[in-house]
Amino acid sequence: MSQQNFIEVKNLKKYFGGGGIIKKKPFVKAVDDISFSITRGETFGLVGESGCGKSTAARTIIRLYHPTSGSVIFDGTDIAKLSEKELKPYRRRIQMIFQDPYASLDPRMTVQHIVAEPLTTLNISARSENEERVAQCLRMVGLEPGHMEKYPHEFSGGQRQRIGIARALITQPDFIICDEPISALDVSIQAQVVNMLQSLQEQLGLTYFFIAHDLAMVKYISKRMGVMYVGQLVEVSPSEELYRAPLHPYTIGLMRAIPIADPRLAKLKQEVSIEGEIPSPFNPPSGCRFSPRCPHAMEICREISPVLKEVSPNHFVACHLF
Amino acid sequence: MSAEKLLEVNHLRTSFFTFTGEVQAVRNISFSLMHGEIVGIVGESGSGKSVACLSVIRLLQDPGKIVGGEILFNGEDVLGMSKVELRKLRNNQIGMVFQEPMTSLNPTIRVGTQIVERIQSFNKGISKKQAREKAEKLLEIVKIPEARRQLDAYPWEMSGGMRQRVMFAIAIACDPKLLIADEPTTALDVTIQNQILKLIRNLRHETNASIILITHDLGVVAETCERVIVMYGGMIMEEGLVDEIFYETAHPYTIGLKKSIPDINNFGGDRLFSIAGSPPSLLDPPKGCPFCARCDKAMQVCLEHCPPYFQLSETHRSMCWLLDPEMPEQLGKGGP
Repeated sequence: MSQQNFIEVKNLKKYFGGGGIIKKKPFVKAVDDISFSITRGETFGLVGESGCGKSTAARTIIRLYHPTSGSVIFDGTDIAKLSEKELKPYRRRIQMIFQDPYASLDPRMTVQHIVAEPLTTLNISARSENEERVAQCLRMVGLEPGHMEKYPHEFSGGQRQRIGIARALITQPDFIICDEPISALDVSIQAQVVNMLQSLQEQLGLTYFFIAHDLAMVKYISKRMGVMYVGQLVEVSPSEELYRAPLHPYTIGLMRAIPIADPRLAKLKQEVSIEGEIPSPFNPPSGCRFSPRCPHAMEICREISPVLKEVSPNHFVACHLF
Repeated sequence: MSAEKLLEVNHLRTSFFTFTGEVQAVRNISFSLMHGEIVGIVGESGSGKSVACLSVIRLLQDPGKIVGGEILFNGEDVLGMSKVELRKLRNNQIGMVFQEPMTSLNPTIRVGTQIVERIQSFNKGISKKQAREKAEKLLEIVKIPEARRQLDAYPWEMSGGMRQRVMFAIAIACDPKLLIADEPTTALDVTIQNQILKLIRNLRHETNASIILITHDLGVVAETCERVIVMYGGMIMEEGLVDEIFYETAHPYTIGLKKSIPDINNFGGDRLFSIAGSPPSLLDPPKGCPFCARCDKAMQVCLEHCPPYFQLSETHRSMCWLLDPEMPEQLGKGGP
């Protein structure tokens, strides 16, 4: 089993805070005990609303944050426990694409320097070879190598995101974490970027961990996906099944909340899907974290936090109803 | 007919005079708004949708300028108004909600005080106590729980959805005839967006205001609006009832936009449709149709001449040469 799993995340936790000299500050349980696995060449999607911990999960997996506990087994090695030095070879193999193409590129660096930076910081190649590699990566993402001397402000949002993708590709990674790579782009440009990510995956055999809050796009790009709510995974399932037969009341509500670009269908569902607000991770509700907003909440939900269990092959849900 | 029109915009042109040249953000657009209807303006960033609405209430900042056209609000000429008249118009008749509620609210002033300030701005004689009572009622209309207690909250103590509700409360304080909501749900999560869209639909019934909803999300339009205006490159590409735009789509750009959204009910593994290229620069807009560089049906005429509007029904019009009745049969007469 673990042979097949390229990345295996087990009981990963990331708490912030807790420091303080006189009075202990409260913990923010940003990621609270999540487990999932991704096979080689697969795209695993993760959806959830803002503040649910999906970006923290990504940054903890890639070790931009040090995990509080749990393990991340990448190709047989637990990278959660490695020292910075031991981690270095893995840095090359795991790369990340960020959400905001305006903030994630240094405005004072040329495209060539931006894209080549991982090569220099990871000591992968000599400076003299860089130019050829940068040109190759730019071509892969559909940009002209002639753009190398330009600065980020000379590009549109979609093109900037391509530069960000080229920067991730330059180290020839196996695994790329895409943290909302299309949320900041216009609809017509989103489709271009998603299509490009898919062709790159086919060409280079990449494995993606794709985070977004746009459920339709995540469903489209990923084979399997997880739904997160206030630091915990509430449902993990093959994407098609998740859309056809969602089980967790939160997933169902989330699904209903997506605006449908079809006025006749939209008229059929006029009522609000989920009432109330997302709870603060400082002080999450006891028991199931969704219970205060859940239409099916029972006595047990307020007391005992449900765990993920497999209700049908490969379909996991954390809910007392099942 | 014209008596029912709340707002009439004719041949509006707005430009920004920058160091690099004149950016023609809005290029000759005409539309009107009836009493009590919800109209959606859809377009990508830079299509001119926000600038068009800011022009309507003359909130443009330098170097933006209205270069030409006519704006009639309830029959009155907005462009000819003095500063005092304009202030009165904005104060008493128009409410506005912006995308990012945190930057529109003052973080250092309690929510209640900010609403009271707004109420007193158009109702000078009202006592503080009465204004506070009205503020509480407004918070109840926008469905903020425990309205009385929330009056004393600061904006930063509230969630994004709650802040946006406060923005709506301020916007409807004067019983506006026109409510402009500029991407009001873009910064919000889907479940909260869903709640706010319902609020917008309810507000229309409760206040009877006409609402302009600016968005880039066709889903939001389909759920909320009765009529849709599709903008691209500073122009209106297509305008029609929501059913006409979605089911009798006439313009290649609208068709492309519709196809770029992954269909949530489609389980096929097809590649997503995408419109190649990127929007035109408005510093030097193309001579012909603004979309022709990205249009897969573009012809020679599209490059050289901007198409006129072809009326497809009483409510539906579109700007595309393919709709020209004189278009030869083999080139796709009767629409793309």
